[in-house]
Amino acid sequence: MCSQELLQKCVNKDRCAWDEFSKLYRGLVTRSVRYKLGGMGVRLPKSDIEDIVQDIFLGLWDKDSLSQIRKPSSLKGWLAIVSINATSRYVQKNIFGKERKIMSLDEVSEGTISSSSSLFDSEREKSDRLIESGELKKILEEEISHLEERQKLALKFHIYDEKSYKDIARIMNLPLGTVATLIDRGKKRLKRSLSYMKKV
Amino acid sequence: MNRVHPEEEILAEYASAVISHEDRVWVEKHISNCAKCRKLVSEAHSILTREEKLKEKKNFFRLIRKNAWGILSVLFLMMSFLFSRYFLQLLLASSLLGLKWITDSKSVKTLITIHKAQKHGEEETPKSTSFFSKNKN
Repeated sequence: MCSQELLQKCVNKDRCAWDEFSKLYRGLVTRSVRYKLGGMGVRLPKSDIEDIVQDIFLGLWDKDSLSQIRKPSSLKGWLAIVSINATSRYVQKNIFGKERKIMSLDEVSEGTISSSSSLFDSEREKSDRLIESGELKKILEEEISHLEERQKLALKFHIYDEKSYKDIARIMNLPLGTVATLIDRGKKRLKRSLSYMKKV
Repeated sequence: MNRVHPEEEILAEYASAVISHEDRVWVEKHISNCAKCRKLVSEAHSILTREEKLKEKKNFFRLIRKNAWGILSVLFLMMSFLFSRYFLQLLLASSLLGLKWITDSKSVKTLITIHKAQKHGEEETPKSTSFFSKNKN
């Protein structure tokens, strides 16, 4: 069965088609969930990961989300995006949410900890560094915002998402040479404006 | 700055490089200013690239598994030259493995099935002719 036919049957709530769909794409969804968890620095037991995957498939069935897909060739990308979003929501709700509650309780009971001098010094150093890097980021953002749309996007992919030229070329559907030129020119321009700011 | 986020479907089309030119321009304009959507596209692209690599890896191992007897045969043939003392034994093993590889291959299996079907058909046809001949009689 081709993916378009399978999708159509799934939209029509055909149980057999759903079983096949789940068998075909469960691996991709699981790997996407694991990738996102890794990116967020969260480690979960296998059973929790299976729960997230199960919730994603249930959501697809209940909300009839598959009917949104216009091009079956983008199905894998769409499943990856849906899985990423579902994982972020799960982590925000079940892990970061709980941690925030625990932290607030700790703050109430042990409010004096942060006033310890040794901790304060190291924290101040850290915050100084953070301010510096934050300022640098702000300056960078501002300088990049003056660039042309495509150059801005290519540079942001390269600097913030640490993507290679090859990956950027594939995402933006541009020749590798064009991407390289865009980024190199952008970098030179940034360098010029940053060095000018340093002098001032 | 365009703050209406594109739908997941449109971002997926962009990450999969199957987006229309019009939508591409709009998405690029948006993600060059929206870190959240850009990160989503970047992550989806990384996952798709990994999937492609995984598929290639799987295909490679499938190819090796499919031609395991052939690979072993070549290995034994090479060994027969290296260990000249057991030249004949290794050569025999190599040819046996090669034979196994040939008979196991899909095309040969298809040929055997066709041959069997033909043979079966030949056996059945005289019976039918005899049936008609009997009726005629």
